[in-house]
Amino acid sequence: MKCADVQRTCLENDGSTLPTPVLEHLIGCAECRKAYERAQIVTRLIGLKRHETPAPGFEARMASRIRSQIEAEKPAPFGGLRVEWLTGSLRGWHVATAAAAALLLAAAGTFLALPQKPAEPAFAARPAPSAAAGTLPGPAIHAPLPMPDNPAWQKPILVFDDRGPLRRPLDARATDLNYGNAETTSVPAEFTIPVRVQE
Amino acid sequence: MADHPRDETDPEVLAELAAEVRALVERARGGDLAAYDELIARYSRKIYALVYNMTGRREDAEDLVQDVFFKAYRSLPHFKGDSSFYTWIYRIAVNRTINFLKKRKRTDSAMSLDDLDQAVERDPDYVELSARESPVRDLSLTELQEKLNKALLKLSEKHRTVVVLHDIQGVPHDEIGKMLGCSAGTVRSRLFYARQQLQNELSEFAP
Repeated sequence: MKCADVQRTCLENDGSTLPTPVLEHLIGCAECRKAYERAQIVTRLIGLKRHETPAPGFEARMASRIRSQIEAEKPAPFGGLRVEWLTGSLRGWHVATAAAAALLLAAAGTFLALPQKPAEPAFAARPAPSAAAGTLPGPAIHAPLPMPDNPAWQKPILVFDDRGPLRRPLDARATDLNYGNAETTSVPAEFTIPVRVQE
Repeated sequence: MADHPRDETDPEVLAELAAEVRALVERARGGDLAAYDELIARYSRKIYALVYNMTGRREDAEDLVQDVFFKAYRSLPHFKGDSSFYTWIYRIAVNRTINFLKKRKRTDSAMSLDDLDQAVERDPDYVELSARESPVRDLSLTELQEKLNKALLKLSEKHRTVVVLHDIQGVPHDEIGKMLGCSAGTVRSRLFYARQQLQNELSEFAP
C-alpha cells in the first residue's frame, strides 16, 4: 500500500475503523505513523468541543419559544385557511374564496354590532309613589323592562339630586324609558353622575 | 422519561427508545404539543450543538434551533418515517443552518463562546493532550476553545458540517450520508479534506 493512500485513509476514518492493511502499513512505516498521530491529535482536540454547553435554562427556554410560535400560528377563526395562503403565491380562486369569506364575515359582524332598538315593552303601570313617603316626583314608575341583549343598553345612569338618586333613561335613544328600578344597586360608580336637579 | 440515563449502546434499549420516539411523533402529528415538548427536550441540545458549531454564535444558534423545531412541527404531516425522526430533524437543521450562513456571509467575526462543561478536564483526550509537551498544556481552556472555533469556522460549510457531525457529535459516516443526502464515501472524502485543513490551522498542536 502506498503511503499517500494510507495517510488519506487515516484522515477519512477513525482509528477503530482502519482496515487491516492500513494498520499493518502503520506498524512498519514511521512517516505514516507520525502522520496518523498528527491526525489523531487534531481530531481529539476538535472532539473536546462536545463538552460545550448552551446557556443555563436552554431546554425550557427553547420549549417555551417554540410552543409560543406554534400556538401563535394556529389559524383559529378560519379553520383550515393557513396564513401563507394569504401571503404566498396563490391561485386566483383561493384569493377570491378568501376575499368573499372575509367580506361575508365583515358584513355579518357589522350587522350584529349595530345596536338594535328594543321592542316596545308592555308597561305595567303602577301608582306614583307619594311625596310624603320621601320619594321623588317624576314620571310614573314603570315595572322593570326586559333588557335588550346589547350590553351598551344595559348601563343605567343614575342621576342624583340632593334628595337621593333620580332614575334617568339609560341612553338618549331611549328618552322616555326607565331601565332601572328603585332597587338598582349594581350600578358601577363610573355611571353615576352627581348633579343638582332644577325644581 | 427514565430518571437515570439508559445505556444507549444496548440494542434493546435502542429499540425501546426508537419506539418511544415514534409514539411521540405520532402524538405530535395529532396536535399533542406536550408530546412535541418531549421531542424538543430529547433533541434540542444535540441540534443546538450542531448549529452552534456551524455558526460560531450562541444567539444565532438559539434562533436557528427554534426555527428548526418550528419548521419540523409544521412539516410533521409530511414526515413519512422512512428515516428516524433524529435523522430527519438533523437534515432540516443542516439545511437551514447552511442557508442561514449563506445569507450571513460572515464567519470569522463576532464569535461567541459557550461554556465548557467541567467534564472536559476529566476527559481522557484532554488529560492526555495536556500532559504532553504541547501548547494544550499552556493554554487556558478558553484560549484553546477560541483557537478550535477559529479553525473550525475557516472550513467551508460542507466540510464543517461533516467535522461537527462526525468528530464532535460522533455520528457514523453512513448516518451523516443520510442526513446530507450523499453517500458515505462522499462523507469520508469531505472529512479527509476538512481534517487536512484543520491540521494546517492547528499545526502548533500537532507539529
